[in-house]
Amino acid sequence: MTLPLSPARPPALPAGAVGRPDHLPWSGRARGRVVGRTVVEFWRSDRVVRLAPVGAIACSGLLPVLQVVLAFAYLDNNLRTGLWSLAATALYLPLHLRHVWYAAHATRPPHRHWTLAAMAVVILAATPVAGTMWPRAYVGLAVSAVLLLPAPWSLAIYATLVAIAAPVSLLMGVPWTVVPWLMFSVLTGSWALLLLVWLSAALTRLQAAREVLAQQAVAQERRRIDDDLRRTLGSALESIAARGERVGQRLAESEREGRRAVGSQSVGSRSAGSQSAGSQSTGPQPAGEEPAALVDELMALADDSRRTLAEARQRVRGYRQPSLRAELETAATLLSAAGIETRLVLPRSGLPATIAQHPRAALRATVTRLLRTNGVRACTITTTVSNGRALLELRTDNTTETIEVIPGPQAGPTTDPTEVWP
Amino acid sequence: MIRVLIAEDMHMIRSALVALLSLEDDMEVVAEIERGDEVLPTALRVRPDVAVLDIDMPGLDGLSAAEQLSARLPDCRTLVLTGLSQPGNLLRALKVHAKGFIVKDAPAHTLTDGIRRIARGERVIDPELVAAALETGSSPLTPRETEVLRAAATGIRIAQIATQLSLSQATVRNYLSNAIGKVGGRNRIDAIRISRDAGWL
Repeated sequence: MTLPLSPARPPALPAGAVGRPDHLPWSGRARGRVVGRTVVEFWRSDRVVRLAPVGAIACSGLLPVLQVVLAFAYLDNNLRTGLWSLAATALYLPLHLRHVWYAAHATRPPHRHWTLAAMAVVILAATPVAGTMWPRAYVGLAVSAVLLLPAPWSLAIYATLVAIAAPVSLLMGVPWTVVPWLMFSVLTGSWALLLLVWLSAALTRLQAAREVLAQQAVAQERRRIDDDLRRTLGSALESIAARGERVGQRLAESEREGRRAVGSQSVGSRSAGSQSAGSQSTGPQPAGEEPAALVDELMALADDSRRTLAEARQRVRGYRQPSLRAELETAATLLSAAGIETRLVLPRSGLPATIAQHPRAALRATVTRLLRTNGVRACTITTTVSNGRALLELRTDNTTETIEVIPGPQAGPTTDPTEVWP
Repeated sequence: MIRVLIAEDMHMIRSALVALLSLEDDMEVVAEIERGDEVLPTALRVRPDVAVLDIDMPGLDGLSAAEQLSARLPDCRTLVLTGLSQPGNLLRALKVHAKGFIVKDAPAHTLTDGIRRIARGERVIDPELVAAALETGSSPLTPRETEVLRAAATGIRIAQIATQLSLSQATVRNYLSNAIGKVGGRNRIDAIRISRDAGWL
């Protein structure tokens, strides 16, 4: 009955993949609170996962130590049995704790069969000399067997150990009235320890799964962004590079022609020094239209670069998915800051979590227009949801604009309430 | 003629702005300043129509200078130059009645055109900045948390922050802890970085 333990720990999460705030989208007070809470919860659960194996180890060690104390304390026992118990415990306990430690981390220790065998030899060999209560030490052996061996064998060994604890105790002189209690303590002790270790292992596996999922999500997002950038901005950047190269070549050609012209002029002046100055004007000149054409080309290049920059910003904005609610709250805050008395009315339920790019651009354009316009005194932003359609209405002193809210990707309705006065 | 005051701490950029505006027939640069705390006294002296302010300046930041101008010299309209990296500043700029908010990497004609429109009484706001501000969201911090985090950003110790803001050390720690949690920082430095990048400080 062994748990499906992973052979090795999963690779560590890359720094910043989860919980790093600079990887998290930011949009508003509510989101800030949620993200902050998520990060705190993440840390807390991480701490629990790290502490769980320690708890399992502590409990696994406590029982044998108690066993040694009892070996000294029982009336039937003497110092010699106590010392035997102490020696045997000192021998098997490190091996047992090692088994528990690895199992609590959802892994298997190397050379586990040998260490289990050594543990079994020590515990069984100490049975005749370590006192009447020594069969309780079978708990450790049974737990280690269940943790390390595959299912049929582990169950068989567990059942055997529990079963022989009673007759062994009787043989060692334990009164028959005490035997049921001893059996009960062996059963409950072993199951308590097993559950503790399994819980710790489950937590470890959950955390590992979460890390793997986060890594996959990060890798997937990187691939998506990479494809997107290559498809869209890539061609624009290539065009800029090609244009820059062309300008550079034309500049170089222009410079060469200029040099040639100067050279031929000086040769001409040496060979025909008596020629009139008017004849020089007919010689080769750097193309007169060239500088103007180059200026045009450079201006176009600058325009292209600026357009590409704007496109890049737009792309980056598209990657983030701020919540619709946060965006509306911020819009209301901005309008209020600009001196426009703004009221935000949101439905109690059904508001899409995010908004698609097109209606979002329309919303932003309207907010920009309102911010730029002088004389707007009041604005009411109302979102209504009916028959699955969400409509956003921006009503100012004399105009009303309606935008249909098309939910963005990964959108789900929120149940956030209410009416907000920024 | 539009009388323009320019406040920018970087000499090269300031000179470029002055040279650019000097090419315009209808504009006259009446003062150029490199410190934020010199904006108000100079403006009171030269009475410009438009003050072009950079945000990051020694002495006093551009937005605080704009606030002072708005209070003491309401006829002088302010145009704030900023980077896209701190969209949260737009909210502050609007609160201090700045009439214009333009990104620094906009084409030159955007600035001259913006100054003319502001001088006419219009408001000039870069749509990209609005988009960035809407995306970043408003600050999750309360005014007191912002104040405490801003004080911590100067590098002083908790005891000094407590003295400066007339709070107990435990309260300062609480505010800092809340601020770190709200912005999702891993520690105080991280929270300061996040808040500063978003323009919330």
